[in-house]
Amino acid sequence: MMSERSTTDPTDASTEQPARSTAVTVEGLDYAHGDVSVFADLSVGVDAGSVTCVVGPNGSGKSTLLALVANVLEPDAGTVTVAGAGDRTVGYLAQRPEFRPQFTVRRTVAFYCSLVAGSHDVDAVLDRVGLTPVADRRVGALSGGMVRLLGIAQAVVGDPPVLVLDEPSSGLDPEMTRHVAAVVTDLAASGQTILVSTHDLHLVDRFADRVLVLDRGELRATGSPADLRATAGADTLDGAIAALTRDGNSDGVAVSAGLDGGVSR
Amino acid sequence: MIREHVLAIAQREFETVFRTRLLVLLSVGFVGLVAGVAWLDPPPAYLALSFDLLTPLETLVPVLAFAFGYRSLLGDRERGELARLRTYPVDYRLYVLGVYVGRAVALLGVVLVGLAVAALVVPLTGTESLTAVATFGTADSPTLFLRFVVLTAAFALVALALALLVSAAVRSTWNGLALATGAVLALVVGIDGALVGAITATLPAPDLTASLLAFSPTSAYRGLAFAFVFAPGGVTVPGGPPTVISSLALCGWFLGALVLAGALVRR
Amino acid sequence: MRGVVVAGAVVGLALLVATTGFVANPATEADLSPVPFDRTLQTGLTGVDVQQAEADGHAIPRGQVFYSQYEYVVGFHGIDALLAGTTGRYTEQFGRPLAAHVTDFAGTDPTLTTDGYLNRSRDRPTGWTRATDAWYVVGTGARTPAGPTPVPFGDRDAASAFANEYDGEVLDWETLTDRHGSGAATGPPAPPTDERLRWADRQVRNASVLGERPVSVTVGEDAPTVAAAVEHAPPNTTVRIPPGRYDVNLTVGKPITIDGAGGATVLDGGGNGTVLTAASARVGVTDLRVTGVGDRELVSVDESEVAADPAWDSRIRLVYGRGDAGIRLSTAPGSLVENVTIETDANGVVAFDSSRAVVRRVRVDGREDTDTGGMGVLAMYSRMVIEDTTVDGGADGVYTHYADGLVVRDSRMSGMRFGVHEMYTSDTLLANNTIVDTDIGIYVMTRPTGNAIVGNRLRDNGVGVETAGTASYAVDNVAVDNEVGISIGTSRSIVANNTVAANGVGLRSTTLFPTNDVTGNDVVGNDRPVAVDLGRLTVWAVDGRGNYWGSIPGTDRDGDGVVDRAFRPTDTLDGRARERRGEFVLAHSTAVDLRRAFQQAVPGLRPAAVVDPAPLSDPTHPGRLDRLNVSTEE
Repeated sequence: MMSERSTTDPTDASTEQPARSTAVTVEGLDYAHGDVSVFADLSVGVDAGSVTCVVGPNGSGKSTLLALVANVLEPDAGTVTVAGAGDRTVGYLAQRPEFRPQFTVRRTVAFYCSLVAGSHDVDAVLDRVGLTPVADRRVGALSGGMVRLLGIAQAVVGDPPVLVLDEPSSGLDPEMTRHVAAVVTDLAASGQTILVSTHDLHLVDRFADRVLVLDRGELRATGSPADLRATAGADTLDGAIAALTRDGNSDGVAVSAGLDGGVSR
Repeated sequence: MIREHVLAIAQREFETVFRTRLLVLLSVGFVGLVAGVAWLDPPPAYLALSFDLLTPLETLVPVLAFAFGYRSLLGDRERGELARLRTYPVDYRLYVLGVYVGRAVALLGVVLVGLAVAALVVPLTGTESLTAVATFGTADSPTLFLRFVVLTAAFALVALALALLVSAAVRSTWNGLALATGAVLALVVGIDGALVGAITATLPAPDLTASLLAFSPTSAYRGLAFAFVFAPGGVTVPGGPPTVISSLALCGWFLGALVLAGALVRR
Repeated sequence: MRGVVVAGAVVGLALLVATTGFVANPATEADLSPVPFDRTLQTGLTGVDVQQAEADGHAIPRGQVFYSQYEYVVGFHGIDALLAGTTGRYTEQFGRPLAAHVTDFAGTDPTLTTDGYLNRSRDRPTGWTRATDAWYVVGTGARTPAGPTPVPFGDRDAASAFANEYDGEVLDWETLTDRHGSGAATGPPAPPTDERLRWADRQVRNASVLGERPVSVTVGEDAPTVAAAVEHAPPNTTVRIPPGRYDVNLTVGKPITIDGAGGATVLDGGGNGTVLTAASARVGVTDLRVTGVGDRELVSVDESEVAADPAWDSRIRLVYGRGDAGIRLSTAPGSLVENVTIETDANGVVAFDSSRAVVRRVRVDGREDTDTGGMGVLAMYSRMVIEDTTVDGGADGVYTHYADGLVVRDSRMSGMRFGVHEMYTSDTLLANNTIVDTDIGIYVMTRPTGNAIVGNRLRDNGVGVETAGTASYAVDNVAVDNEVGISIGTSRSIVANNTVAANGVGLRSTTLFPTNDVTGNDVVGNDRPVAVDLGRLTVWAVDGRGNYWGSIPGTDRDGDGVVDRAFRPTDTLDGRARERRGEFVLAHSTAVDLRRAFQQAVPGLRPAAVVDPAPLSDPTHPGRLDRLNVSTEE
């Protein structure tokens, strides 16, 4: 879909850390799902070239935020600005990506490649996510993890400067989780801006430059994993985040988990 | 670039049709039924063949078109593909166009194959002529059947556009199935039935009746068949059929359905 | 290259080619130039009328029509026939006329004979002109053997000149068709059975007085031989021949009656030629037996002999008309042959130029076990009555040639080629005859008109009745156990209320002009109810009443005696549905209904088939079926 959002020069809009350029800028974001408000006046920025993890309990608005950043949802008010020029500015992996089961993995990636400008090496994309061995397998015959990898492959098509990955490793077996994590780490190492939501705090600890702690649509804290542990006075990241979001959980006001699901469905 | 996008999307839709077993079976069934109508009781003339096929096609073409079309945009929405495509530089209108083109090529292919197999009945089962008696071409000619083919193709395109509209409008498989079934029923009998009711109840002026036919794509198709196939073939059609209105009606349904589908898919 | 592009190109190209269908006009595509008339399917005036006119050198205006939904060019003898052919049942059956051509008399200097027949003064082949653009001269007294005729001209001046010369009026096509309109034959009239029976009764009454003439001479008492007795007998008296065998090859040249004593009186021709020839009006031959007939049933002819005779049918006359016979009526109008038995290897009775003759209670025993031999009764140029007569063996029981108005009734034919064989003969009545064990029971040939075949019984024949011509009737006959019950080769004729049971094929349609009224027939228990040899889709019902086919799919919901579902006797499914449950159920399916919804349209472009849109729920003659022991529940 044609992006209706502004793309700016990275040097332009830097709110929190002027020293680093900002890849994604969210300002004054309002979003309601039906009558239920998810975000009200949310502002946050993502540094260019960083790996930013969004964490928080179910229903905190992680998936919605990612979908808004990826332009899959449109905000009711406020702006989402993605820095970077080019044909495709954001690559997006939905929480539970689905593809047409009739096509092969290669054919599927080739289709997405054909939607962006320039020539694209389908094999290179497959290689990048480790799908080369199953390139000729039908999507319908893939395991859940492989479909997730296919989703990541699709997300990196066209080399968008920003990757938005919604729960890339949730619900996968340990080996596949490690594999997905390795792929994401490789992507991060290649210098792309990555915004990723996850429950896997080991993963966060391993490669997050910065963590956004989200609870009930509000940004509770931001910072590196070490910063968060220090702020919360906790030994583990797990404990830190639990402390940072305790208030929200004890309220007993749970925003429906379905809201997240509603984004990608 | 735009052309590339449309073609890439169309190609994927085209392949999807032939990689979906149900649609392949339906296509084979369609060809079988159309050919069956012709071959079970072989008419020795194209005009007679067109007559035989008209009524079955009024039913079969919408059924096939909706089978081809009603899941297309709905499936994309359910799989999150519509959302995903928003991260690509593809206009949603072009996407609908690509989907339509791909499915339309497949649909027209099946319709044409069916009609071609049916048409073979005339040269292949031709009854023996009396050799002592002079024969001539009569008003029957392959020309008439070619016209019938074009009109049927147009009807198929309109039905597919309506199927895409349904596909864009609904949000779940069951809604889609229900709405598609309803739409096919409306196309096949509903609208015409309502027209018959309206006309018998109010007895409008003849001109108005002709204009009312525009409300039913099926009647517009039938009207054009009478005007361009049967009347030149020597079948008397009283008062001359309203070809302009019928043609405009088909165009209107076609464009209207596609534009509306384009608007609804973005929602 | 992408598949969708290739497929799209193919589909697009196919549709582009198909759109050329809108450029070409199919109707003008066909070549509608006139064809030689002998290459058309001909109808109109009878074969006799046409042949006679041709033999006499008279011209009959002709037409030919190209119909939109019929592949054959139809030729019409006579303008009236052409006018009928451009309206009504013809157009319903064959579609609208794309082109009609008519004989162009312009440039031939046509003249009229004193009788009004058309002659062309200039010997040039008459061309054709568009019927709709032609000029028609009416009211001139010009005629064909069938009646007054308009004379068509392609050129208005020529038409005006002809009109001036013969006091006529020039009309264009529109006016001509308007005037014709009301008189156009819509359907055939009811059979004139009663009228013809009354005519036959009158002839029988007139002839039977010949058996009541006073006896003037008795052979053996008043004269030594039959010949001498005949010579001595005054007109209008009877020569009595007592029992005994008499060698006779005799010609009777005066109106007397030869009366025997029944089977004991035998006239023996000695195997040489004809035994007894009547060469005077009102000769009676009664109560005797004839034997020793010569064996030449036909006479071979010289071609020079044929050529020397100007008559159109000289060959037939010379070959058939001179064969040996038991009794020959040679220009013996009003004669009577009664209670006579003839044993013959050639003909039994030959009537030549002997109208109003009566042959009754005659028995002819022809050659056995072969289809050859002569005719039981051969009627040439003789409108006569044949009744209560039995013919066994030989070629044909009754053979007619140009014997318009002849009546054959209450007679019996068996073991021969054809029971009754009509050639060039119109307006006959064949009533209440019984014909068994023949190749064809009743065989009408040569495009005649107005023949009525009523109430005959036909059993064990190859074909029961084989009809031809126009405006004819096959009514109330019973055809049982034949290979083919009734074969319909007529057009604009009635085939009604016949009982057709237990034949191989019940009704067979062989006509190329399916314009018959086929209604009220009980067609049951045949291996195949209907076969269609030629022609196109034919609808068999009149005014919403079709035929009875036994138990067929469908029901009579409103009790009007008509089943509410069309029956297709030529259709495999419908045919079997009468006997088999599976097919019966399937015959009611929506698929079958859908398939049939449009199949009665454009009948001229349909394969040969028969549809009865209003099959009867009850037989027309249930009593007959009971007597024949034909179960109506098959």
